[in-house]
Order: sequence, then structure tokens, then C-alpha cells
Amino acid sequence: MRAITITMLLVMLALTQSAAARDGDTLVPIEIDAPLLITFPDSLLTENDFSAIEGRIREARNSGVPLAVRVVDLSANGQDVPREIHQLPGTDLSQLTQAQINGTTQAWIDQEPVETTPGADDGILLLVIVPEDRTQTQAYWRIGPNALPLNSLTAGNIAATVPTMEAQFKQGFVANGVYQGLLEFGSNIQFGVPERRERTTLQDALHTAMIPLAIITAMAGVAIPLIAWRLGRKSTNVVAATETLSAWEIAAIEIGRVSPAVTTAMLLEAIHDGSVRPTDGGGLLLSPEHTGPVVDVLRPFASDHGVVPRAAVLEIEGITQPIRLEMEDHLASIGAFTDRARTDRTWILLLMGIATFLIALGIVPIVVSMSALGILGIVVAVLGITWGWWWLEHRSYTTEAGTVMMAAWLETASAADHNRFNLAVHQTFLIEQTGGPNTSAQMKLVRHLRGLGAH
Amino acid sequence: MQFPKSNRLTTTVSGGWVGECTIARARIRRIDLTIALLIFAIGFGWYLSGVESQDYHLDESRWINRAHYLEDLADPFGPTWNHQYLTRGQPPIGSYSIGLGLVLQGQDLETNPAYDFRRSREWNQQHGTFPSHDDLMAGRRWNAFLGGVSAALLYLVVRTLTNPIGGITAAVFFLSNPLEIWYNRIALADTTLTLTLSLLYLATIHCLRRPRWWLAIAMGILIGLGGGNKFTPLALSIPLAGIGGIILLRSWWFRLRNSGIQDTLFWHLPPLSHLGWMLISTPFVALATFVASYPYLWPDPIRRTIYMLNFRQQEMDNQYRLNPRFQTDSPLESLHMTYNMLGNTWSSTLQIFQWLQLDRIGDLLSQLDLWLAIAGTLALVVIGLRKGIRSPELVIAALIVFQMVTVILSMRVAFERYYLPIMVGEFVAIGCAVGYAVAPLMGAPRDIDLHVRQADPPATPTSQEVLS
Repeated sequence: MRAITITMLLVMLALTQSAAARDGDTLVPIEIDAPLLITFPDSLLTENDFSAIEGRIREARNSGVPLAVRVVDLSANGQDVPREIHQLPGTDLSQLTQAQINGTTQAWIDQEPVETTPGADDGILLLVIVPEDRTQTQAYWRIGPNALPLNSLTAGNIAATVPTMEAQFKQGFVANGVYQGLLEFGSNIQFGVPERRERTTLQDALHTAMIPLAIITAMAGVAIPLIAWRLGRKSTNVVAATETLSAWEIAAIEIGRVSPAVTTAMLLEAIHDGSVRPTDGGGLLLSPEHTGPVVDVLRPFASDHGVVPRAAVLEIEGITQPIRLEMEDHLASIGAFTDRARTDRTWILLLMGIATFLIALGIVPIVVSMSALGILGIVVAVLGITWGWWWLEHRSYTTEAGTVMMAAWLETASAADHNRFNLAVHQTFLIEQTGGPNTSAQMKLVRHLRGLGAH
Repeated sequence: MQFPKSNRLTTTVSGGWVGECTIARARIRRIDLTIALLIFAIGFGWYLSGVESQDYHLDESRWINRAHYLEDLADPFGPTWNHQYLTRGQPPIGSYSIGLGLVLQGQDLETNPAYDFRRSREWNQQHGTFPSHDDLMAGRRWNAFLGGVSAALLYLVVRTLTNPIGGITAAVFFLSNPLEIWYNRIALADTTLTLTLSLLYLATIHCLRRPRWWLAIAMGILIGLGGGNKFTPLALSIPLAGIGGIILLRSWWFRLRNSGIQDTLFWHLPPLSHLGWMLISTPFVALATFVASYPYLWPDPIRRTIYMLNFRQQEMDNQYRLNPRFQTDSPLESLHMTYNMLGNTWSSTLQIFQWLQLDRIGDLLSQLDLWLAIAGTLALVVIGLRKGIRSPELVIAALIVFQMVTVILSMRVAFERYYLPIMVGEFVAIGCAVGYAVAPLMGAPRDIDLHVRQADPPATPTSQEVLS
């Protein structure tokens, strides 16, 4: 219990940490106070160049990136330019240390923040310094400490735009360099390869805690088919009885359980011998003179005139359930069916329940802690549950003794009994694909008596 | 009251027809399988014959680019599934499908970068965003294959509802439709959706004919996969769950009034094996499948789905702005445009007559597709209403109409690919119209030996008895 409580607390704490630096959809267009592009002096770029570069910055903001670009000619004497810029050497800017670059860009941000909200420091600044010799132009990125992770941008792919810009700068094309760099930056926003999300300390702790849970969950999943296989191999101690069995019971042995096909076959037989007749309204008319398992079980639902209404026929599978249960019990008592069916079923259901519980318990912390092992555990458990479900639906209850009884019966049964047997055993095959305007009356009748309603 | 006697033939016994019917069913099943395989072979060959000559579609770059999503599924917390443009922009099922197609043909999943629509074609060419010929052809061949499978499935859907003539008609209309021909010969995700919807229709019919949980879950999964491809199919779970709810309530009501039924869950609710529960489960299974198939959603399924929906809306607004020719301003206008496009531009009838060099007749009859589809849908509704709410006909009609309404309501630009999900229903309806029309010519089925004369109605009003 303590482990669960600690896990839950870790999950709650981890959930409060946002996956992205910014809340909400970081891909939607964004507006920030900082102007898109400023040059010092104003006339540094031609109108066309200015407009083209602005278009690229706008494109970035439309993709949710708070980007601003500043281009400074070192010879400009504007008051808006921070002092640190003017302290830069007039030539050979490439010799600047990283600390000097950081200091320069930080000075700019201190003077003119580029961010989505005051104090967020989540903006991205491209500062372009243009010395007298334009081929020495340098571009510096300043990525706010809270800017990344952001869409497909990474520190690496942002930095990788610098050589692109420098290639143009070296030819003296300042505007084109900035433009090309921003083109690449814009592509990276949408099509770059983002960095793998790192786990926080809390997520790491949770991730470690998930390892045993993942293993247990997977084991619960694996246990289901293993236990089912083990249960299936247990032999029954009941010796086959030698009593006479009906065609319906033999059909149930062949099917492996007393399915609704058996009771429907009994109903068809009742219709054949005249004790039950279908009515125009989709109901069944019971003969007052006849008795028998299906007639008896239907009679409480019939009117004074012996009509079982259509609404009851639609529920006929539920109404005839007592016949099936009784027949199953009888077949189990004589050894034709395993007498452990219910116990086995309970075991498998219990295991499935445990696996489901473990999945429910683990799914949120596993996702929050990004535990691939946990996902594997869940997948294994889901497969196990699916297998268990399939087993419960399709497992045959028939024992070896039952198979012997059936073989003996089939050798001696009359043609009429063989037909009754076939009526149940092959019934599903008959109704499975029928329908449409060319369906035979028999098919419709069988479907109707299965409670399947419309055909 | 005189109880009427059975007028069975004295020479037969109960169940004697089973053997004959079983043989007949086995034969029919073999024939159906043969026809379906034949349709698949024709469809696959037909689509395949045009993959080389088909014009390049810019979206193919994106779909082939995202083929790597398939292998990235093995790393569900990897960078691919971060909140980023491509991953947020499009659900991944179509990408998985293309990836699977490439892998099955021996291609790797390292393909071209994605086409950037903000840049010029030259820029994209320079940056290698066009897929290689091998990748492109592999993607197209895969869709040709899926198109062939879809044609075979459409045959089975309509054949199961009506008869082989109806099924063949649906397949012929599908295979000759110019829009389907185009999209099944290029490497986009729409063929996968067509296949998913065809499978959904088939699973739905079989589940209603004989309710089974695995089919109900398959239906939910197919809807989820459809949603994971193009969103709108998620709406198909609504009519299924609604019909399931009505069936369940009706059964519950009966059980509340007849406490003699032992087979109940609790509070006299029907057991879990009841069809109502199965149909009600479809939205839950669909949503679970949608989320499970898309690791991007895992950290915050609701919020990220909303992000996606908002993005799709934003994209639709952009397309609306950029494509005045395709703008629609109201559902009525969308409906009108759909009618016009399906009836005149993307008409199978028109295409068939054009192949026969009878263009003028084709022009005159081009709207036959739609008229047949309307007739088929109406026939499904009428037959469904007569049979009752559990009839596959009614549910299939509901799915066809719901898919169409969802697309039309969400449409702001009438791009041709938006019609593809509608067209799956259209072909089913066309096939049904023809299938029902020729049914009288198919010969009545023989009632072999179990002659059941329906009982005379009882003297008292049946309705009262039914209510009691």
C-alpha cells in the first residue's frame, strides 16, 4: 500500500511538470511584444530584403516560435544599441569567445526582452553584427533558457544555421545570409528532428519504480495461457457412465458446451412435431397438449392463448438458459463434460482480473515515467487477457470420456437422431452468412429461434 | 382454440434439410471466395497497371516521409512522438500502412525529407523532399494491393447483404471509379481508410447476424484505426452505440417486467453476451484504439487531441482561404457540391461509358451512380425498418448516412479526397440497389423439408399480448 501511495505521489508530482517549456499548443501562431526585425541603422537593409526577412520571422512566429532578429552595423551610433555591442572589436569578430558572445546577446536581452510573457525568458534572438568589412559579419543565436524544447527545434539544429549564414556573409551578402539562415531555421521548426525528451529526477524515480510493476504485469499476462494450458491438461476422475444420451446432449459434447444452438435445435424439433408454431407477429404459439423442456420453459412467458410474444422470442437465449445449465450439469455429472469447468473459469477470470488491475494501476505512471519496459508489460498483459478471453469463449468442456460416449452414440443412432445432432452441430454454419432477399425460410426460422431478430 | 397441425412431409424428419443446406452453404462459400479472389486479382492488376504512369502527387512526399513511424512505434517515448508539426498534424495509421508496404517490399523506412509547402518546388527539389522512384513505386504498389483487397471486401459486404450480382456491381463501380483509380494508384493514406471502412461494414454485418464479442471489438478497433487515419470515422461509433443502447434498453425493459429470466447481469440487466453491450462498447474501444495507436497522444490524450482538432480546423481555414474554387460555406452547399462532384466528375457510370467511347450517353447517365446509391440507401432503410433495429441493413444504412453527414458537416473546402470515405458507402448502396432489384430473378430458395405453416393469429389482439 505504501508503495502504491508513493507511486501515486510521484505521478502527481511528475504530471505537474510540463513536457514543453511553454504551456498549451506551442505550434499555434504566437504574438509577442518584441518587433520582428530591427536594423541599426534603419537603412541597413533594402526595403525588399527587410520585407523578405520579416516574412521568415513571421513564419516562425506563425509556427509558435517567439523569434526576433536584430541586425547591427557596428558603425551605427544608435542609442538603442547596448554598450556591449559597441565594445566589440571592429574586425575579426570570429575570434570572440563564447563568453563574450553570451555576454553580448545577454546584454541585448536585458535591454530588450524577447519572450512570450514578462519574465518567461522563452524567446529566441538572432543577433547579427555587421562590421565595417561585411565579409566578417557574424550571427549569434540567443536561446532563452526556457525556450526549448520547442516544436522540432534543438540547440543543435539552431546552431547549424550559422554556417549557412556565414557562407553568404563571407561573400558580403548580409541580407541573403540572414534570409538563408532563417529559411533553415523555419524548416527546422517543422521538420527538424527534435531531441529525445529527458526524464526529470521525479520521472527517473518513477521509472525505476515501474520496473518491478512492468515485470509483474507481464508475468500476469503470461500466466493466463500457462494456467489455462495447465488446467486443460488436468484429467477428470469421473468414469464415463453408460446411460443413454439424447441427440442434443451428444451435440453438446461435439460442440464442447451446451451452446444456444442446442436449445434452438430443440425448438426446431418442437416446431417439427407440432408443439410449437411460429406466428405472423414473430412470436411462438405453444400447444396446450404438449410438454417438453423448451415448451415448459417458454410457457411462463406465453399469454393465456399460448402465444409467446416476439419480445420474448428476442430474449429466447436468456429464457432457455436453464435448459442449457441443467444439461451441462448432467453431462458433467456423468463425466462427459469436465466437472471443473466453473472452477477453471473462475481461475482464469481471476488471473484476467489481476492483469487488468495491474494495467490500470500502471498505465499512468508508466506513460508519465516514459517506461518502455512498462509498455511492453502492458502489451504482454493485454495479449494474455485476450488469450484468456478467447479460451473462456471457445474452450471445450468435453472430456475424453465424453468423446467415447459420442463415438458410441453416433455408431448406433437412428437417422432421425443424426439429423437432430446435425441440426445443432451445423446450425451456426447455416446462419452465419445468410441474409438478404434470397434467404430461405429455414434460415430465417433458425435465426428467429436463436433470438437474433432480423436476419 | 384449434391448434393447427404441422403440415410437414411425412417422408422427412426434422433437421433432414441441414445436410443439404450445409453442402449448399459450403458451395456458396467457395463460390464467394472464388469471386472475391477474382475481384481482388482484377483490382490489384488494374491499379498496378497505372502506378508508373500516374502523375506525382505532392502529398506522396509527406506520406512516404512518415513511413518511419512504423519502426518508431517500437520507441513510443522517442523524439518522433514529441509535440511537433508533422506528428501533431496527421494521425499516424496511414503512415504505418505505407511503412508496412515499404517493409514488405524490402524497402527501408529511411526515406525522403517531408515536402515543405511553404517553399517553392525548386527549393524542395534541391532539399531532396521528393521520394526516390523505388520508394514511390513501392508505396503505390502497396496501395494498388490494398485497393484490390478493398474491392474484394466490397463484394463480400454487398453479397452478404444481398446476392452475388449486387456484390459484383459494387466491385465494378468501385474499380471503375476515376477518383478511386487515381487514389489507389498513388502512395497516400486514403486507400487504407477505404479498406478500413470496408472491413468495418463487413464486421458490422456479421456481428449483427451473429453477435460475437471479438467482432464487436474488431468493429471498435476498425473505427479507431479509421479515426487514426482521417478522424471522421470516429463518428461512426455514435450510431452503433446508439442502436446498441436502444437494443439494450428494450431487453432490460423486458427483463424488468419478466423476472423469470435467470440469465441477467445485475439489476436485471442483460448479460454481457448481449448484442447491446457489444455495440455500446464500440466508442470506448475506438477511442482506446485511437489513443493506443498514436504515442503522441499518450502524455495528454484529451488535450493533444484537442490540439489536433484545432490544427485541422486551422488547416481547413487556410485551405479555404487558398482555394476559392473549393470553398463551401454551409452544409447545404457542401451537400450540393458533393452531389455535383460525385454525380458529374467522379462518376463510375460516366467513366464506363467513356471507356466504351459513348461519351454522350455517359454525360446523360453520369448521375446514375448517385441515383442508385440513393435508391440503395432507401432500400436498406426500408428493409431495415421492416426487419427491426437489429437488422444489418438498418445499421449499414446508419453508417453510410453518418459517414456522409460527418464529412459534409466538417467540410469547408471540397477537396476530392474528402469524398473517398463517402464513396465506400456509395458503392455499398449501389450494390444493394442492384442486388435487391435482381433478387426476384435469382430464384426463390428451396424450402427443403421443414414445411412450417405459420400459426393462425390468435383470437385476441396480438399487440396486447405482445405488450403483456
